[in-house]
Amino acid sequence: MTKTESLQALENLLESFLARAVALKENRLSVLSGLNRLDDIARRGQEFTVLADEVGDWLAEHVNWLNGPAIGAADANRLKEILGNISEELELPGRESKETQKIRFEIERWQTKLPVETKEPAWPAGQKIVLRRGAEAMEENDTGSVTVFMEKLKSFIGLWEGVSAGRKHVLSALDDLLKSAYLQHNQDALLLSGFIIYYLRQNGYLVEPYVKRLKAAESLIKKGEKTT
Amino acid sequence: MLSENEKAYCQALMALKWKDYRKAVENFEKAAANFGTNSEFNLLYQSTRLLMQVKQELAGAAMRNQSEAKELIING
Repeated sequence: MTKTESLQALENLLESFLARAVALKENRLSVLSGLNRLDDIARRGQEFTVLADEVGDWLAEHVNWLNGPAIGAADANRLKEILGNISEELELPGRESKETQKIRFEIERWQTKLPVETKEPAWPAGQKIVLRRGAEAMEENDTGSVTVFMEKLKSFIGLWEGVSAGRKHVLSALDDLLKSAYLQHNQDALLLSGFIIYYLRQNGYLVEPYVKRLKAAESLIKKGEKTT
Repeated sequence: MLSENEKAYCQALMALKWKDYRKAVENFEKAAANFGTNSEFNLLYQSTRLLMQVKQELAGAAMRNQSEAKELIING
């Protein structure tokens, strides 16, 4: 595989990963985007008739939020807050008109229909909770699955945060990772080291000594797998 | 009201949805002050940055190939 082919493969992999990650957040993203737009409308400090018009359009466009589980309680609270501010804005003296009144009624309707964040405990005080779970089952560990890969990437982030804490340069953290891969046979440290070495190589670093250490750790881990 | 950081994170995700990676990175950078310790944020941010670098590298390689081809044509 040529360098360009490797880069193209990495490009496809990253694009596909990001597209899937965003697709997983599609519902939440649609809610956040809606909140963001309403917030922008509320902040713009425009003529109140324009404000009423834009809010009216926004409410009409997002009316399905009132009918389904699209919006969670925390987002609903933020929405109520923004709508409350808009309502106050439209209530200011000299701004009463049929149009603004209609919007304020509509906002009131939204305020009452949106989900409420419950502050009550989920069970009465003093009541005992017994947690039960079924027999342990072997989890299917399909390394080709997107979910498994996503979990692996998340564990890399955790690992990276641990080794890079308090360090200023990637190389010193990489050194620790390679030690962990070599001495502790840490498979995640090995994979993350490979990723970092590739990243550094693309940015013009001389990585040969690290590649040697990576290969040494890899063969040691493979040997360990064979003997167990 | 949403904070500027929250707005930026949201816009970064929207940019990712539309495959506008440059805009996504710009917005991730703005949001980093508030979400820097959030592992999911970091995963998306660093993956997008890496993707941008890969794209730059590929664009550079394509430019080099083009100029080599031109030279070949000019010089026979």
